Amino acid sequence: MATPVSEVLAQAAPAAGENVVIETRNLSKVYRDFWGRHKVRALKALDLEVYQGEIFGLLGPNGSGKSTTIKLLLGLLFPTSGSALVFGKDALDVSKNERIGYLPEESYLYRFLNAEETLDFYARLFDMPASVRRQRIADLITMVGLNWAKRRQLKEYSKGMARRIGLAQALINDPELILLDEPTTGLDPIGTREMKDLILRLRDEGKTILMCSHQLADVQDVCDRIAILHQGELKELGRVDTLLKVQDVTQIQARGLSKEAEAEIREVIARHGGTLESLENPTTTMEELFLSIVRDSEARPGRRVREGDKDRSEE
Amino acid sequence: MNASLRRKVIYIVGIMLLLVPLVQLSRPATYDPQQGQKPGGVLSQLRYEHRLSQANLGQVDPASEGMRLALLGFRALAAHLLWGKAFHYKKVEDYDALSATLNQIANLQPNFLSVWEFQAHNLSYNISVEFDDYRSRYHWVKKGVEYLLKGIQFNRDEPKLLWTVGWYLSQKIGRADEKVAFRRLFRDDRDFHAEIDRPYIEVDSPDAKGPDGKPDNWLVGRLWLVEAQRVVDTLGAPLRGKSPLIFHSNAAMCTINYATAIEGEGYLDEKAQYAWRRAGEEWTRFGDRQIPTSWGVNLRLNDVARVETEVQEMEQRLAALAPGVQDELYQEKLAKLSPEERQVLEVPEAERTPQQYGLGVEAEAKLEVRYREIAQRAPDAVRVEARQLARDLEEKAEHRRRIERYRTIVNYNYWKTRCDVEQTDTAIRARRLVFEADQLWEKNASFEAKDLYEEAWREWGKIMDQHPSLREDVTADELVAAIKRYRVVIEQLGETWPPPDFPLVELLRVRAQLYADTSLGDFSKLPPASGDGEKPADGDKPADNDKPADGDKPAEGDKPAESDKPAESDKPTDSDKPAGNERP
Amino acid sequence: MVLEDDYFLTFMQWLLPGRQGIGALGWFMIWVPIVALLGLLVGFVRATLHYTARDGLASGILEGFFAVARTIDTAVKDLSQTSARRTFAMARLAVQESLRRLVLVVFAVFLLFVLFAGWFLDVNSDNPARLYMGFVLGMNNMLLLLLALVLSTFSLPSDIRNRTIYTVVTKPVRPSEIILGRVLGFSFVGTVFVVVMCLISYVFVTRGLNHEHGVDPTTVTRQTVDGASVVSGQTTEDLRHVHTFTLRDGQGRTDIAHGHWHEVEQVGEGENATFVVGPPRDTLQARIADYGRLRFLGRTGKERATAYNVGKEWSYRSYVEGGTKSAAIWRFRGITPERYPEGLPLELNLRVFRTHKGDVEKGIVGLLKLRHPDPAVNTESETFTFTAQEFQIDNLFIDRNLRAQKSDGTLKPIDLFEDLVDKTDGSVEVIVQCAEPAQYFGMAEGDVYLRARDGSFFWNFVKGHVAIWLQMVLVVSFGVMFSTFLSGIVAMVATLATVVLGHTVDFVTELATGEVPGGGALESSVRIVRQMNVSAEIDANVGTQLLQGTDLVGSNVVRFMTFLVPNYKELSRTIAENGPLVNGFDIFNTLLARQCLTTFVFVGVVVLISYFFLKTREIAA
Repeated sequence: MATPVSEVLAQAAPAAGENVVIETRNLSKVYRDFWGRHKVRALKALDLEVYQGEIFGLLGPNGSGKSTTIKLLLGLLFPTSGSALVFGKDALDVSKNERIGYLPEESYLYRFLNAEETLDFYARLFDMPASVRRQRIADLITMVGLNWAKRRQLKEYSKGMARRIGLAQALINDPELILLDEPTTGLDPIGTREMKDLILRLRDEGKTILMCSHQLADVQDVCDRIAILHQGELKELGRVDTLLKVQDVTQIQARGLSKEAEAEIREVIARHGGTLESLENPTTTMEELFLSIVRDSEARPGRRVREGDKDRSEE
Repeated sequence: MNASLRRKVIYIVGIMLLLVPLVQLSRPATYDPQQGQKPGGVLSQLRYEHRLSQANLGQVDPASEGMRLALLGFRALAAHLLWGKAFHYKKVEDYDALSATLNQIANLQPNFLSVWEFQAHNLSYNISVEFDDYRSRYHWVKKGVEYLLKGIQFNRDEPKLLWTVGWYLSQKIGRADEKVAFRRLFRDDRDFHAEIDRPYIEVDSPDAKGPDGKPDNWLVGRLWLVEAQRVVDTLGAPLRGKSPLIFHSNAAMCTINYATAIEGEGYLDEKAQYAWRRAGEEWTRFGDRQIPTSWGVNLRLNDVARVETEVQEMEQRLAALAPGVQDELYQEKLAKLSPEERQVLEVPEAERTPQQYGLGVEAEAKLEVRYREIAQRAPDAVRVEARQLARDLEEKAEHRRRIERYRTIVNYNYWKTRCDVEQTDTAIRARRLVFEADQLWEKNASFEAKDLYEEAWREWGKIMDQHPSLREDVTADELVAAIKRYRVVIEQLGETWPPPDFPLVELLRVRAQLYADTSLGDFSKLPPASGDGEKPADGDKPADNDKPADGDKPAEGDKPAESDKPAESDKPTDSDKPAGNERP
Repeated sequence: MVLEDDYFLTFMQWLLPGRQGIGALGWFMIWVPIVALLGLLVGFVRATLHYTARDGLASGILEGFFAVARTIDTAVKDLSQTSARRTFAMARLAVQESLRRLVLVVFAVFLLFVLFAGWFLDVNSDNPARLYMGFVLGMNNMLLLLLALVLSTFSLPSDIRNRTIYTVVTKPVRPSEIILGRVLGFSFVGTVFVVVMCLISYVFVTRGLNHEHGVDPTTVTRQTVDGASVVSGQTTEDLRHVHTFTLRDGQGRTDIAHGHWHEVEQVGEGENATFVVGPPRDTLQARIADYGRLRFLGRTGKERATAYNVGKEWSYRSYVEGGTKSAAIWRFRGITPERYPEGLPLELNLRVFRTHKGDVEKGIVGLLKLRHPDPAVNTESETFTFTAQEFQIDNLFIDRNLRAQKSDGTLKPIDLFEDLVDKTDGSVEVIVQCAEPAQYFGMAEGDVYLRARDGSFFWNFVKGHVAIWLQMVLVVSFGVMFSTFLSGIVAMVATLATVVLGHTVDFVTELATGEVPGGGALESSVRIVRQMNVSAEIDANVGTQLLQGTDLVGSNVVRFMTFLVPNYKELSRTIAENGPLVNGFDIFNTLLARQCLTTFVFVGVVVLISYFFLKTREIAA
C-alpha cells in the first residue's frame, strides 16, 4: 500500500514559510462562454505548495488542469476563486515576473526575429546593464548550442531548435523560479536527455522548477515531488521515490542466477506465503501508478485516490 | 544578403522589367494641339487605325481602367460618392476641383452617355455663367465642349454626343448674352479650332469660314451636326430619343443663323447674300431628306406639293366614278345639323365666341364627307374600283397631313420664304439701309438717319407685301426695334407718330393682333390691308423651335438680368437650356 | 481658399473659455470625466456580472466595486512603474515586425501611384498646382492611414492568437508598456513613411510643374512707345498653356496663366534679338497673410454682421450692394512701419454678382479706401478704384504716402502710419465697396488680407504632412486600442469606422439634426425600394413615423460617437482642396499647434483606455 498523502507531506515538508515559492489556496478556475455561462470547470480547489530548490512535477492527462494551473500561476488567467501566490505575491502582480522564467508548451516566439534578436528583445524587458545583457545572450546561445544558427530567422528553425531558443529566453533573466510547460515534447531522445540534465543542473544551482508533463519517464527521472491531476482535481501528491515505493511488492532483480537458484527463490517466496508475480525486467512503475489513478478516477469520479489505493492493494 | 531578400529584389526588378513592354503596349493616345494626335501605345494605335471605340476593344484606357480595377466591384459606389463631391464643389464654387472630379466620374463610367451630356451642360451652361469675366465664361463653355470631346474618344460615332458638340458650338456661343464677344473669341481661338478639328469636320475648310475668312462658330457647329447626321445615315447609329426631324433640321438652321448673325455684324453685301443662298439650298436639301417618323413610315417635307397634286387628281377620279355624290352627301349632312349648329356656321370663324367655336368645330366635323362614303354610293359597276380608290385616297391624304404637320413643327415654309427673300437685292438693301440708319442714329445724325430709315421702310414694305408671312415672324423684332428708334428720331424732329402712309403699318397691325405688341401704339383695330386679308396657313406661323427657351434672351441695359445667373442653383436647369433638347 | 471663423483664433483663444464658448479646455474638462465615468461604469458592470454569477447579487455588487477599486489601484502602480526601457524594447519589436510585413507593399503602391500619376491627372486643368498637390496630399493621406490601419490592428491580435504574447506578459512588462510600445513603434514606422513620401511628393510636385517656354517668333510685334522699345508676343505652348508677354527695353514678364508667370528677357538687338523665358514663378507659394476682422455696412450705412444674401446656397460669402452705402470693413491690427515700411501689400479675392448684365465685356468697378479706426479722428484716404477679378488674386499695393480729401475738396498728402493707423493697437480699417448700382461684391473674412511676406513652400509642404502625420498617429492609437479586445480584422473595421466617422462628422451631425434630405438609413432604404426621390414627401403614417423615430435615435447614437472619435476632417483641413497649402498660403502655426495638442490628448486618453482593456483581459482565455 502506498504511503498516505499526509505521511508524504509530513516527510517532505521542511519547515514551510520562507521556503515556499509557490502557494495556491483553494485555487479554482471555471471557463465560461461568451454569455458568461458555465462551460468547463478546469480546476477545482487546488491547494499546493512548491518549495525552494525543488523540481516539482505536475502530472496529468490532457485537460487535467495542469496547464491551467501554470497559466494561473503566471497571471495569464484570472482565478475564478481562491488565490495563487508566487514569491508571496499575487500571481497577477507583474513584478513577480522579474524572478520567473517560463517556457511555454510550444515555442511561442516571434518568427520574424533571429535568435539573437529574440534574446535581445526579451533581455531588454529586464533591468540589466547592456554589457550583462550581451554577455548573457552569448552565453545562453552557446548553452543551447545554437551558435551556428543565431542569425537565422526563427521561422527557418526546426521544432527542436525553436524549443532550445525558447528555453534560452526563459533563462534570460537568470530566474529563481522556472516554469516549464511540457519541456521535452518535440525533442529527440538526445535532446530530451540534454533537457533533463539541464533541469537537474538548474536545480543544483538552487533554482526552483515547476514543470508539467505527460511524459512520465521524464517526470520520474527529474522530479523531486509530483502532483497528479485529473479532471481538475488533485489526485496524488508527494515525493516521487515515496510514491513509487510499493511496499507490498518485492521486486527481485539479479544477474547470473542459475535455473536452480531461481527455483530456489520461488520456493522461498512460496514458503513465506507469497506469490511470485514475475521475474522479468520491471516496467515503468510511474506509468502504472498514473494509469491506476486515472482508471480509478474515471470509475468513481470525485473520490479521493486513497480509497482507490486500498482497492488496488486488495487485488 | 540573405536569400529571401535577394529573391524579393529579383521579383521587384522582374516586375519593373515587365512594366516596360506593358507601357509600350497600352500607353494611351494623347492629344496635343500643336502636334496633333500622338499615337500612344500599340493597342491605342490599333484602336485608332480601326476606328474602334474604347468600348469594343476591351476598354484599355489605363487611367479609366486602372481606376476601375483598383475599385474592384465598388465602381458604382465610387461614382456615387464622386457625384456627391461634384455637387459639393459646385456649391462651394471650387470649379477646378469640380472639373477634376467630373473627369474622374467619366473615367469610372466612360460609356454612360448621360454623364457626359449632363456634366458638359453643367460646365458650359451653369458654371460658365458663374464667372463675371466674359473670357472666363467663354473658357468654361469650351471646357464643356472639351469634356464632350473626351466623351467622344470613349464613345465614337455616337450621334448624340456629336450633335451636342455641334449644338454648344453653334447655339451656346452664338446665342448667349455674350454672343458678340464669344463669337469674336471663337474666331481667333486657334488652339480650340485644332481641338475640334476632325476628319470630316475640317475647321480650315471654306465650309467653316465666315465672312472674314476665319472659322465661324455657326458653321463649325454645323459641321459637327452634319457629322452626327452622317454617322446616323451611314452607320445607322441610334438617335437615343432625339426626334429625327429636329435632329436633321439643326444643321440647316445653323446656316440660317449664320446668315442672320453676319448680317447683324454688318456684312450686308454679297457675302450675306451668298450666306442666305447657301442657307436656302441647305434648307431645301433638308426638305428633300427622307425623315423617319413615329408612324413607322418615312416622309419628305418637300413632297407636299406632289402629294397634294396626287390627292386632287384622285379626288377627281373619285368624283368621276361617283358623280354628284359628294354634294348629295353634304346636303344630307347639312340637313341633319341642329339649328344652333347651322346658325354658328354662318358666323365667320374669327368672330365666334368660345362656346360657338366648339360648336362650330363639331358641326364642321359632322359635315365632313368621307371618301369611303362617296365610294359607297358609287354605281354598282364601279363600286369595287371606287372603294379601292377611296382607301388609297385616305392613305394619301393622311400622308399629306403628316407632312404638313412635320413642316409646321420646323416652320418649314417660313424659313423657306425667309431664305428666298433675304437673298434678294431688295432685302439686302433694306437691311443695309436700316443698319446704316442705326449707325447714324447712334451718332445723333437725326436728319440723315430719318431719310435712310424712310427709304428702308419703303423697301421693307415692298418685301412684306410680297411675303406677308414675314410679318408674323418673331425675328421681325429687330425691325420693330429699328422702327422704335425711327419713332424717336421723328419725334425729336417734331413730327407725329405714326407718319402718314407709313409703309409698315400692316406689320404693326399684325404684331399688335398676334403678339399684343402695342409698344408702338395700338394698331390692332386697323382694317387689314387690301389683298392681304386671308389668314396665312398655320404652317407659316413662325414657331421658334430653334430659339433658346428664354435664359439667353439678350438683356437690355436697364432691365434686371434674367435668371441666367442668380436663379440657377445646383442643377443644369431649363432656364439656360435650348428648347427641344431633352434634359440629360 | 475657404477660411472658417475659427481659423483666425490664436492658440489661447482656442484653448481657453471666452472667444469660442467654453474653449477646447472646457470641452476637454467635460468629455474626459464623461469618458472616465463611462469606463468605470462598464468596468463595474462587467465585474459585478462576473461575481454575481459566482456569489449572488449582493456580494457580486460588493465584489464588483472592490474589483474596480483594485484595478484602479494596480493601474496607478503600473503606470507609475512604466519604464522607458521596456517601452522602447516593445517599440523596437513593433518596428521590426512592421518592417517584415506589409510595409514594402504600401511603399510599392505609393511609387506606382506617383509613377503613373500623370495618367490620372487632368492635363487641361486651369490650375495644375492645385490639382497636383490635391492629388499628392490626398493620396499620401489615404495611403498612410491605410498603412497605419493595417500595421496597428493586426499586431496584437496575432500575438494573442499565436500566443507569443505569453512569453511577453510573463516578463515584467506592464500592459501600458505593451500599448505604448506599439503606438510608438508603429508611429515611428509611419513617421519614416511620412518623411519619405513628403520628400518624394515634393520632388514630384515641383518637377511636375516645372517647364520651359520658348517664344513663338510669329507673334512678336515691336513698337516704340514714349521712346522705349516695347516688344510683345506669345510664348510657345508647353504643358497646355501659352503666355503673352510685354517687354519694355528688353525686360518684362508674361501674364499669369495656369497660376504662374515667367520672366522674359531680350538677348541681342533689333530684328535678330532672341528672347529667353525664365522658369515658372509663383507656381508654388506659401503666402504669409495678415488677416483682419470683417464687418459690414448695409445699404443705409448701418452696421451689420453680414451683408446681403444673393440667393446662393453657400452662405460663406456675404454680398455688399453697389452704389449704396453698403460696404465691407476690414480692421487690421499690428500695422507698424517696421513690418510694412513701404506701405500695405493688399490682396483681394472677391466675387461678383450682377443683377443685370451691364456691359458683359467690362468688369465691375470697386472702391477701396483706408480709414482711421477711431471715428473721432475722422481721417480717411482718398478712394482707389479697381476692377474686380474673380477666382484670382488681385494685388493692390497701398503706398504709405497717401492723399486725403480736405473739406474744400482739394487733396492733401497724409502718411499711412501717422494719420491713419491707430497708435494704441496699430490698427487701420480698409473699406471695400462696389461702385456700380445693383451689382454686388461677395466677400468673406479671408478674402482681403495683407501679404506680409512669403514663407518657404517646402516648409509649408512639410507642415501639411504634419497634419497627415497626426492623423496617422491617431489611427495607430485607435488601431492598437481596438486590437486589445478585438480580433485583427474586426479591429481593423472598427478603426476604419472611426476614421470614416471622423471624416463625416458634418454629415452625421446634419443627419442627426434632420437636415439631410431623404432622412436616415431606414427611411432612405424605404425610399430606394419605393423609388421615391429624396425630396418627395413620404406619407406620414405610424409605420413611417416609427422608421423616422428609429432613424433619429440611431443617427443620434452615431452622433454621440462622433464626439468620441477624433475629427479627421478637421485635422486635414490644412491640406484640403480649399485649405491653405493647396491654395498657396502658409499654414497657420497656431492651427498646427491646436491640432497637435488635440491629437496628443486623444492619444493619451486612448492609450489609457487601451491599458484598461488589456489589463482586464484574460490573455490565455
